Amino acid sequence: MDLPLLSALFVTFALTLYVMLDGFDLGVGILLLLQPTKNSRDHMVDSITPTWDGNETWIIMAAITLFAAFPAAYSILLPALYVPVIIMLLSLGLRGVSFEFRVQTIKHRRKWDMAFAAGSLVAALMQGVIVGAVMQGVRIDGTRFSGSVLDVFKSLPLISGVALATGYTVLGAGWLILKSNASVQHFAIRGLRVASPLFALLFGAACIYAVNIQPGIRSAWGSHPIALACLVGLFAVCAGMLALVPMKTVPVAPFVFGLLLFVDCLAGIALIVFPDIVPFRVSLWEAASSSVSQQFVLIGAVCVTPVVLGYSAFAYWIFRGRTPEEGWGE
Amino acid sequence: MKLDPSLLARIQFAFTVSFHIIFPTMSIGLASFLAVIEALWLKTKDPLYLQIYKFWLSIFAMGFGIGVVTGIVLSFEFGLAFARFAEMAGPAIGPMIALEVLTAFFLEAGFLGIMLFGLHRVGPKLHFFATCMVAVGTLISASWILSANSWMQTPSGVAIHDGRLTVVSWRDVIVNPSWLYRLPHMVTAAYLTASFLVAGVGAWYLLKGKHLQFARRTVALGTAFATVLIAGQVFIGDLVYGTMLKHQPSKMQAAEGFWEKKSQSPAPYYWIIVPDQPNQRNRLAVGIPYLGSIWLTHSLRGRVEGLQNTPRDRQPRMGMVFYAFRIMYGLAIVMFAIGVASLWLRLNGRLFSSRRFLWVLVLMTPSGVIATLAGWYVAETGRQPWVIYGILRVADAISPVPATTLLSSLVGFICIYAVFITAFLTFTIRLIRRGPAGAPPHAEASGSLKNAFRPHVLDKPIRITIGVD
Amino acid sequence: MRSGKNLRRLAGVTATALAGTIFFFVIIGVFGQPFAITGLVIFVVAAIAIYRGFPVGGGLM
Repeated sequence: MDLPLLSALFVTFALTLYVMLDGFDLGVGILLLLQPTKNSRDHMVDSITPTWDGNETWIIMAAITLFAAFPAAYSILLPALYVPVIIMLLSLGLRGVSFEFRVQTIKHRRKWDMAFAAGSLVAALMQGVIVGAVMQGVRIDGTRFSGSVLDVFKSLPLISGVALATGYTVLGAGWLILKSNASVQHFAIRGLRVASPLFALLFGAACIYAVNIQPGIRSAWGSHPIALACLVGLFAVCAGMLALVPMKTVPVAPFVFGLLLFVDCLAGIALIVFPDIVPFRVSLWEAASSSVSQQFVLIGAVCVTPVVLGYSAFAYWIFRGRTPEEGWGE
Repeated sequence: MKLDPSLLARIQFAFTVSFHIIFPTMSIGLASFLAVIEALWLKTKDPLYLQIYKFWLSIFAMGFGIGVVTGIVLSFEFGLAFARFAEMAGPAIGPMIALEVLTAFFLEAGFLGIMLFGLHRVGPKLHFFATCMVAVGTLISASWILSANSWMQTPSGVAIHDGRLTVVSWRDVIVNPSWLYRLPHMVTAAYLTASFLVAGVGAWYLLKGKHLQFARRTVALGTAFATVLIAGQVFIGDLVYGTMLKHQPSKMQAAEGFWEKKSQSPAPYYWIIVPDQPNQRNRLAVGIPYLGSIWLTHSLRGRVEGLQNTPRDRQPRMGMVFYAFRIMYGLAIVMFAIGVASLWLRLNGRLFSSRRFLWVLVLMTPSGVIATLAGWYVAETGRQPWVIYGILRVADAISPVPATTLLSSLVGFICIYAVFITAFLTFTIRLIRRGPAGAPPHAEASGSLKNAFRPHVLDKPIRITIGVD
Repeated sequence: MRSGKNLRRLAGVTATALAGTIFFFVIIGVFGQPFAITGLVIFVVAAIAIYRGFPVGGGLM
């Protein structure tokens, strides 16, 4: 277990937490597009307002750890993914400020809700495009990106984009089933019944397509057939549970299965990509910065992350239970 | 017209980072201000302090949100537009920024929810703790990022081998030659920004004859803090100047407007120049005689070193550095004068009745923001043509991204950020117009502060309910 | 007498402006570091003394 591997694990950890936490935030935002009732929209946003900022911070953690521990990978991937990353940043920005601005107006709140929803949807789509583009493979020349910024607009990234947005909708619906009042819960259950089979379908399609176009994935299957098959099985089980579980009696179930679905997907991707950091191009060790830098990050990560998780959990606990009808009173 | 990707990347970064820095500057200052106000409320139980807290909390929340999302952009922008820089500097500043995320961003974000929304959900002591944690988070954040930027200005603690950087001593990387001077300078700038914001709004209310109790308290507090802070700031500023003169002489040479290797004696202090960089001279230079020698060499006849002491291919653009510095320093002088004036007015009991002074405070409301921006322009344009001073030039640092793509993203940023700033200013002005009295009576009556900000509730006459606490 | 009051005020403003300017020059280090630090300390102490001695805001200062 050497330093680059540990750093890669931390990047994966941060990314996983991001996807799980901001995933449902973005999912709630996407569902806003389908919610016609103003009070329900307020209620939906209220459910994610107190904790969204911390959730979003995990993507910064992942990106910066990449910057610190694998600067070569950071400097290859970001120019390659320039277009979807920029669009994602602008959308996340629009979503983020909409939290604060929407409560300042009544007349224009609907417009800010649409901005919120659009920002969430586009950010989710772009994140999917990024995953797909990375799996598709980026063109490099040594440690320089040498392809075109338009390489990302091909089939796999585009399918992945829609798949991820649908997946986040599943998470968002699961969160709302857990946290919201009866009418929004009803709305969320209907949403989940559509989104989860759709997500399973799209994700499956993306995987099959990816296997076809990326030889690296085929060889990964060759190296770890049993592990990957188990993950596929787990995916099927979770997707099945999402369809079958009685949501009104066990409201926490859809959310938990949704999260498990995502952890499962991430584990699969990690397994397929390992030992590379720029998938199928540059290995962890080739891209790693010197051990002095890795040590600094890892010591910080090991010491501080438990504290972060502690007070983050505390914040969630403070805002536990169903979201109050009248909002947060400030 | 052939677009230059290098220039576009620089303009984009300059735009995004300038826009961004406005908001953390306000947030660092207001967070600590809010912590002080909440402490005073808890200690004195004076409801006016709670009123002040709630008023400034709304504005703080909006600014903080914009600061966060524009900051995320920067974490990615290193790689997006300056991939060569990211690849080289990653080992040195990457771990520092990673620690910033771990120790500061999460701390602010984690407790922000409680600070903004938890007033009725947690006890007053825990809420105060949350406010303090957010304030501490902003300060820790400032420390790390100033260390990273200071390392770019005065790099140390690294060895270079084949264009790759390895850290030799973390102590030297973090505690680099300029960090411990630039950090207090930035934090004080943030505190000054908040002080003038608070004092300016209070002064506006005094001039309009509205919310007088709130106005008097905030003008008193704002000017009191500002006076002490500006004195400290000009002291620290001189120390920063001396450090940068030693470690980055080209910057200070450009900042003062002199070209000749040794200026005339005695040297004037220039306020207006029209520099002609290709010919290494000024077409016009207007200044105050003797003051250059006095302020810059601490003697009556000392000569100042001009930009020709730096080889031409390493010279920053004098025009930008000079005027940025003059704006920052000029505002500092005005702030100092206001501080002294406020002391005089207090002695005469006329702090709230001198309309001229109040108008000056109103005009100076955004002065901290402008001065801080100007100061950062000195720092960044003065470091040119280097991105890591003496090690990596900006021209060698950019990403392999075509100019048209950079132009598109620049346009995208300008459009979206325009929405942010318009909304921020619109809502802030609306909050100021509405004033602080809006919140408490309705809040107590309806049991919900959120309702208090809703116009239809505010427009209704207040129904005093007996027995409601 | 009005002109007496105006004269006193003018004298006060001039003295304040002069003192302020001197303090500024001292604090930015024109006369050297030790004076700068001393000047800063005196300025801050004087300011705080004025806040305590001439409270205006109705609160602590």
